[in-house]
Amino acid sequence: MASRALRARLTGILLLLPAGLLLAVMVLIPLAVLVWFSFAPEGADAPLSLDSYARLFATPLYFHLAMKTMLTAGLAALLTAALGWAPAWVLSRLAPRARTATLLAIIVPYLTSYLLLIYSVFVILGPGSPVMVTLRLLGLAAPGASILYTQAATVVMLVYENLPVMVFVLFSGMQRIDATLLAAAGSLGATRRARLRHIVLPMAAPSLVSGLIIVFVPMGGAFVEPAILGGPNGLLLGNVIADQMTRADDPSFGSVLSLLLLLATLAIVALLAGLRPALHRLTSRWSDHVAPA
Amino acid sequence: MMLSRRSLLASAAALTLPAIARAQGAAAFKGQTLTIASWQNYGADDPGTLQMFEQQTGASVKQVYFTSEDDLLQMLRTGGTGKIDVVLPNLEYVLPAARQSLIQPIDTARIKSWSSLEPRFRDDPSIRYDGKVYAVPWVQGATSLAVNPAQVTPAPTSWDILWDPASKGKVGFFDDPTTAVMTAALYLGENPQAPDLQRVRKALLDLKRNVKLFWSSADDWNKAFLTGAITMGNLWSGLAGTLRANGHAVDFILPKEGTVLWGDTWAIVRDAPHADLAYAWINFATSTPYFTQWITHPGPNQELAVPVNTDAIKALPEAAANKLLAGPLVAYRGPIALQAGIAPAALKKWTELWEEVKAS
Amino acid sequence: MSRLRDIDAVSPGMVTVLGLGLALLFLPLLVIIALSFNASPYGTLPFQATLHWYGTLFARSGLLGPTWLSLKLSALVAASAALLGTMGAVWLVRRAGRLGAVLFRGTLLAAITVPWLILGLAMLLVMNAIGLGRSLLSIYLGLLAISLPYVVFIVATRLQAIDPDLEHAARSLGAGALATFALVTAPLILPAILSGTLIAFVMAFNNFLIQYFLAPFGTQTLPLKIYTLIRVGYLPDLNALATLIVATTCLLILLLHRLGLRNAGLPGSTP
Repeated sequence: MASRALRARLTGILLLLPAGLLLAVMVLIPLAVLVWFSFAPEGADAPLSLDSYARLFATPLYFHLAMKTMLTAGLAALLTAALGWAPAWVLSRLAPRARTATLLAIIVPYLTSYLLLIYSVFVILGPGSPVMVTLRLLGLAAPGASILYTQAATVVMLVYENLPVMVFVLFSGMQRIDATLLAAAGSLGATRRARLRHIVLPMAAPSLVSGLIIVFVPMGGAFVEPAILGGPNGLLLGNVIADQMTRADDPSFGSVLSLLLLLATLAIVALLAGLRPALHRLTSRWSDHVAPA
Repeated sequence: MMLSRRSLLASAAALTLPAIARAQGAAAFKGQTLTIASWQNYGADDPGTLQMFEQQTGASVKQVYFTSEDDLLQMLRTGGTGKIDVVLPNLEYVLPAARQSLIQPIDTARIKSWSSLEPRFRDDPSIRYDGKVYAVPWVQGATSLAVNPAQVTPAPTSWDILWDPASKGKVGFFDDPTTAVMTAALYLGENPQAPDLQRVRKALLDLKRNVKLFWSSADDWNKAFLTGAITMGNLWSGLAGTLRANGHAVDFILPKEGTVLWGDTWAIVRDAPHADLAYAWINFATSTPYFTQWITHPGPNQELAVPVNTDAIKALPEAAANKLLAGPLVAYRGPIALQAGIAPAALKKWTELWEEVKAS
Repeated sequence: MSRLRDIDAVSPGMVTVLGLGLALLFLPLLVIIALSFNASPYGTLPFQATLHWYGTLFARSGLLGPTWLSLKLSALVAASAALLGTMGAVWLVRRAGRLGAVLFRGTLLAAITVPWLILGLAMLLVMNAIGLGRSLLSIYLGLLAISLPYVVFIVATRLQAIDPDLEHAARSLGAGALATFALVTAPLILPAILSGTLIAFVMAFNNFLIQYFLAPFGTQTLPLKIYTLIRVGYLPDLNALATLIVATTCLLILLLHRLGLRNAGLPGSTP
């Protein structure tokens, strides 16, 4: 009996060991090293100090930059969700065969390096492009103008890069919404709008939150997109971190800024994750509402 | 530390053998592979000249590419020494590399073109460390004022134009701390090697109001300049020449306040496995036949630059020299801010300043 | 029956919405494809048709090596992620204690919520410290660490949905743990494993930042090669390569579709 329990224990350890070891070496220890470096401005051998943190707090510059970064990434994430919602919903209503093909097709843009996608955005947003002409006709842009080299261009690029993932995640949530439930609600007199509010929205909410988190995180760490598209005032925290780590050769201050970015990102992620139970409560309230009908 | 007679003999043989082999020409380095670290599409991997080198020496060449000068130093620090033979650091990076003993001293008596190199590079302290020469100047270029002549008239003669309120939203500026600080110092009339950083900071913040794009690659500049998003800025002379050769209108100006000049150099890596072959390469790559072939018949996508070897410049056909803007650059006698010799502590301050200007 | 209802549910308006969404998604790709046939080396208009860049692509051939390396590397990472990830998921769902599960999930989440810029840098610091430095092994481990979580989460979700009684039944009929897994559990979670593997492959193939920090000097994967080329002046033969990659992928998809790969658990549920 005892040997059997031991064997079960051993199997458990063996199952976990490779993944656990990998994550420890490649995720946990690196993050710990980052914290350590942030206290070692004079290099790993010198005594620890708070100098890098002092530099961070000496100016509001980096906090403004962190705020700007979070707002840009947040806006881009929300736009991605708004654009991905309708296609994901239609996708979830398709017959299985067509659905699989379409889903696979959605991965295709993802297989092209985003470094190349950036360059196609140049064409799409350049002066005289259809997008800019439309904006001009709407009175939103001056003739010959373009939103290239502004924060808006960075947002457009971030949305593009992450749209496939968003559609994927939203779809996986919506897929579980049973058509019979919708049909039943319809036959009980629920309008299209009511069905959306009372059934679809609450049931897709968890995947909406997941989707927002999954696209928001890489958006917050972006630095290639703002460097190429964002113009002089479009730089984000990621650019400064990359510069500190490479050109300025100051891994300590780079680590401090990384931790700032990490904390800011985690705060937003926690906020979003906190929405989940709130949405859930909302759902149950709605269903209480609907149930007696 | 006693040397036995036998090992003395052996080392004497080792010293003379390559010399004999060199005299024998083509077969000298047969079977050896020279490892070169440089930029992609920049001279060292030009197919036409490589073929010449391989025929002359019998050796073959392996290319390693870096994407920034820091990349190069890091490459040498993390296992590159002992594997890579010869590298192409910027003038600015020779001293740091020598100080960290990533590269070895060079015996200038073995460099055939040494006496033909432009004195402003050959005699510069930034290729010397501890009294020894560590690098052979190879090519040069200016990062100077470039404008679109159709949209900027009359042609400016001063850096002022970039700061002019009328230039708002039209400026492309090179994203590099040394260039930025030096350019601002020239504009302000400060000493570009040691300017008043408070004034420089203010000038760069003013400049930023006019800037549309901080460019960092040829491609960044081309996309913005050719679509009219920017009409002026500071630009590498080589890129201005390439654009002109491709039929685009660019005026390249060496302003009256002075221009920023840079140089790329060849250096031999510490513990290079094929040091003799590395000397052969440097001799080849600084020779007139090399430059004539590379500049007049470059392989696809080769980025060209002006030789530091004055004999090689004289030997260039006129069209090729014009494409490089070699004439104005070599003839230029105005103030020069040579991108070299900045102490590490000062450089760190400059970098911080530039990061803050960009982040503001 | 269900087929009918599905058709009933999809109105022409909805198809239009999907079409518009897909068009939006593919617009940059179409631009890349168009530019690969455009003569201007700077991607500027007017459009002049040429096949020149396809010739350059094969003549220069500097792009094909990195593409092949990226494919091999990503395939290796995806296969390893499938194995390690499935083991981890089985442990998580069937064996983990409460605390263990929370810790494991937390670490997996960290691997995908820490921006890659930071994680890649931090990985490099550690790899340098333990002597691996920038190497193929480092890049393999790094890519594996960021793609593993997707497999674990997708497979774990599927595992949770499987009735444990099925496994108990097999066990009580005398099947060993391994046989139970191979005969009962594995076939049930196979679609999830496949879809996790696919996502892991895409993640590894296209992740520029981890590769940027961990790739050995002189070794170039496709994203790194593209980055280098862009730094020194990029030419439309890159667009030609992207067009070829997209065309090949589309062909593969068509083939899979023909072969009757219906619902291979796609896309699986993400955390």
